[in-house]
Amino acid sequence: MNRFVLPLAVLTLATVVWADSTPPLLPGEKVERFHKNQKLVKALVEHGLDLAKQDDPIQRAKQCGSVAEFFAAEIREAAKRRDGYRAAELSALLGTLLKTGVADNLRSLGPNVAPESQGMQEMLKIRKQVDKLTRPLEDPIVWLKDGPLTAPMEEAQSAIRAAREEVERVVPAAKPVAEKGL
Amino acid sequence: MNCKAVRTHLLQATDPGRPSAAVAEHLAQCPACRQWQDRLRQLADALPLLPVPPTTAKADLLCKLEKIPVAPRRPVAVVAKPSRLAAFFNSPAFPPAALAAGLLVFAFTWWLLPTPRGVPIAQGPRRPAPDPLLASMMQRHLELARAKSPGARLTALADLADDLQKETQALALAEANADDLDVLARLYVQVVSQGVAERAPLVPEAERRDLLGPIVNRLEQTSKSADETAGKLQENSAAKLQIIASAAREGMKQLKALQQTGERP
Repeated sequence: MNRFVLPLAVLTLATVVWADSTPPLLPGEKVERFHKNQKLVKALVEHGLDLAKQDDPIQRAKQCGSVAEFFAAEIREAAKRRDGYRAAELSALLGTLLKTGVADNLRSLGPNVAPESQGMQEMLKIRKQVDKLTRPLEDPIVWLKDGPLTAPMEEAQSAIRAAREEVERVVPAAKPVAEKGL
Repeated sequence: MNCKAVRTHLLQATDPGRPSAAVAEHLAQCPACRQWQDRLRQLADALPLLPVPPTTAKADLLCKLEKIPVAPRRPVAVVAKPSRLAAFFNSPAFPPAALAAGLLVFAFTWWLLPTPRGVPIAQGPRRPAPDPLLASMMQRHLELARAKSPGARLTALADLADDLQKETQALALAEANADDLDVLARLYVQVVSQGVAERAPLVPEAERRDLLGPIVNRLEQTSKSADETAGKLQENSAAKLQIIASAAREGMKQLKALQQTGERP
């Protein structure tokens, strides 16, 4: 029986080490991350203050949409550098922002927004804005420019796509205006 | 052919009633042998009619067959395998071999699990930990996006202020430069003065006692803690924490006045 002890001990130790494969940031890494994310932190705080003043769900969704633009810009930069992990981290946050900040606020208006109303026009503008900032990030060309697609990059694309689709479910595309007869 | 030879032939024949031509020629001339043939034929006819006594011979035979030892080749093959396996387990080579096999299995699992097979990793095999500051700022932002009542917004703003001051102190201790600390300290001031202090009067009076008390306590705690941390830092960095301590004290003053008079000073 004793001959099993050593291999088992080694395996257990290795498993414990492996399980804790994403340790918290070291002090130096914290500072480095802050430099990278400073713009995003500022955008979140400053637009958060504006959010606290808004009662209108459409204006709240717009505020979240404005913060989403900062995230989209950083994700584009990460894609250019082929920094898949950063892109995945930011895309997950962008996805949550679009789903909770944009889609949920617009959903709270309910299904009774009149198609021709000012509110619906605003909602369609937000949908268009979300589409404009997410579609390019779903384009494989952005990611495949200098090498193959990696797993974190696929993860990032998938988070972005899911968030855009959620906004589109809440705000269906405007129906084309019927041509008037002569 | 004499009588003895004829009778021997008849005893050996399958059917004594149908003898061969030579035997039949002798029988035709010898009445004693014909009589002997008749008796033999009667005996052969009566034999199947004899009663058979009960016997255990068949069962005994099967029993004996089962007890016969297995054929020599087969047992040799069966016995040989376990003896080799046992020899391997007992050999001194087993522990290192088991260790090597275990490590091989672990290495394979390690390689297999973090990413799908065949997908190249540009950043190395390990995923870096997410930035806790960015995650907490996003969480507070979403709380503000969801908060519909003034009370919920005030709580979310107070939480945001807390996260900012904690992060500023953590970065100060991590030897971040004064400019970085300045960015965070200014954000803290904004959140307390333009957020917490401005939003607090909008909270209905009935909710104020429950909501404002804990926030005042947290601001007091922040001012003390920021002053303490400032005492451990160089002058430039300490000044940024003192900005936080001062903003916390000012916020506390305004909320206390609101608690007492119902108005901001």
